[in-house]
Amino acid sequence: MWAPAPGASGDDSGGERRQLLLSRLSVIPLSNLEALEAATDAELVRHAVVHPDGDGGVVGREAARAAEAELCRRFAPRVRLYGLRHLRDQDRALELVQAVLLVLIEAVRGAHIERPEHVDRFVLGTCRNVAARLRDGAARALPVDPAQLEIAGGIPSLEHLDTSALFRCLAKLDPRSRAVVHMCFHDEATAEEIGAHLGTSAGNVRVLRHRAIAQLRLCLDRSGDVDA
Amino acid sequence: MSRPCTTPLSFETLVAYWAGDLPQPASDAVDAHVIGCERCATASEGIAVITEGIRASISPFITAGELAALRARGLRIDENPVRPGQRAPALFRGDVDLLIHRLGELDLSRAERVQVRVLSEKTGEVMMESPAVPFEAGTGEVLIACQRHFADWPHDVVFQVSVIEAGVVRTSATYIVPHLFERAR
Repeated sequence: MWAPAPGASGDDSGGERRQLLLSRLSVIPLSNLEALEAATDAELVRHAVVHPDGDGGVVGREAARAAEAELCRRFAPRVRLYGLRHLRDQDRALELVQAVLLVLIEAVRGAHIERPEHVDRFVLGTCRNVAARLRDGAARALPVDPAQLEIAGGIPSLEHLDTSALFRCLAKLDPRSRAVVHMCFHDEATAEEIGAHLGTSAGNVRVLRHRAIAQLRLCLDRSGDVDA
Repeated sequence: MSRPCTTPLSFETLVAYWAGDLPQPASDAVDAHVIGCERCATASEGIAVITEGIRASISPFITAGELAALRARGLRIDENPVRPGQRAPALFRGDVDLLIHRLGELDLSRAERVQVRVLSEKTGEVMMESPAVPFEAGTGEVLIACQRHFADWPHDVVFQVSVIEAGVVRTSATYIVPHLFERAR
């Protein structure tokens, strides 16, 4: 069971913040996987705080690391999505994941997240900052090896898409829907441009587009060609 | 668990987000929601794997520069030069990754854009079309990057190329390219 470290100090502002966080701790036995998964993000942030005296006992440290790992497990896929959308590159998206998780872990260990219930806002802000640096061509954003912070296991593997399966499913779309998908995601044409070419409205293009993506999703799920 | 989702994002919104078709404030709102919502993140990933998979795949219509880059990456590439009106059967050999159809003998010197439709000769079904493909004005060619996964599509392929100058179709050319695919090795 997680328990505050004896003799936790609250002399400085950082200490006060830690004290505040510690006072909010619930008594979730974090060695229990189900309890970990049931904990809110805010509870995990509070549990992951490193004790001011660096101790807290082996059980306490393990619980803190377990909370940290669960936070990483939750946020890694979402940060990766942010990276894919804003950096348009799998490798850079993974780089973003590592950089953001490192910042997150350092912040929770140091009790620098003042409002744990809004940890998602902290993560989003970090995503924006790090992605902007990556877009600006900054060198690798990782200050240290992620292994040092023991988060490597917290980054789940990417869903693997078999391109052949995707094209088999594309072949099953009606020609108009296929044209919309191709023009939208290969040619990066706008709905208005596609509509002008196909002789229809932009609104109709959007309807065709989301229906086509839904059909592709269904087709891939049925074919079993997408591995988690 | 993360906070329960009380206002799940619609499928349409997520598709528009991945298509880059949302106004900036709406796109920012999706970012903020997905970061804090496991359910919508899962839904978003299900769409992203498709849209980004398409984006990451090799376009069927490429430039000479892109072709050179693909060669530099080590892809095994065959080429199939075709003249307008010609029936030019093509073998996609088992030991190649890409088969480039060079649709040639086009006057592209004043081309504003080039439009390509890929059809089945037998049924007339449009397999693919693009209103503005890249073209090589200097050599008068359009390059089609035929890929192994196209083996699932009809093999009796016809390429219809239209050259647009000053908003008007000036010339059209048809290339008939029946395909045979060898098993990959």
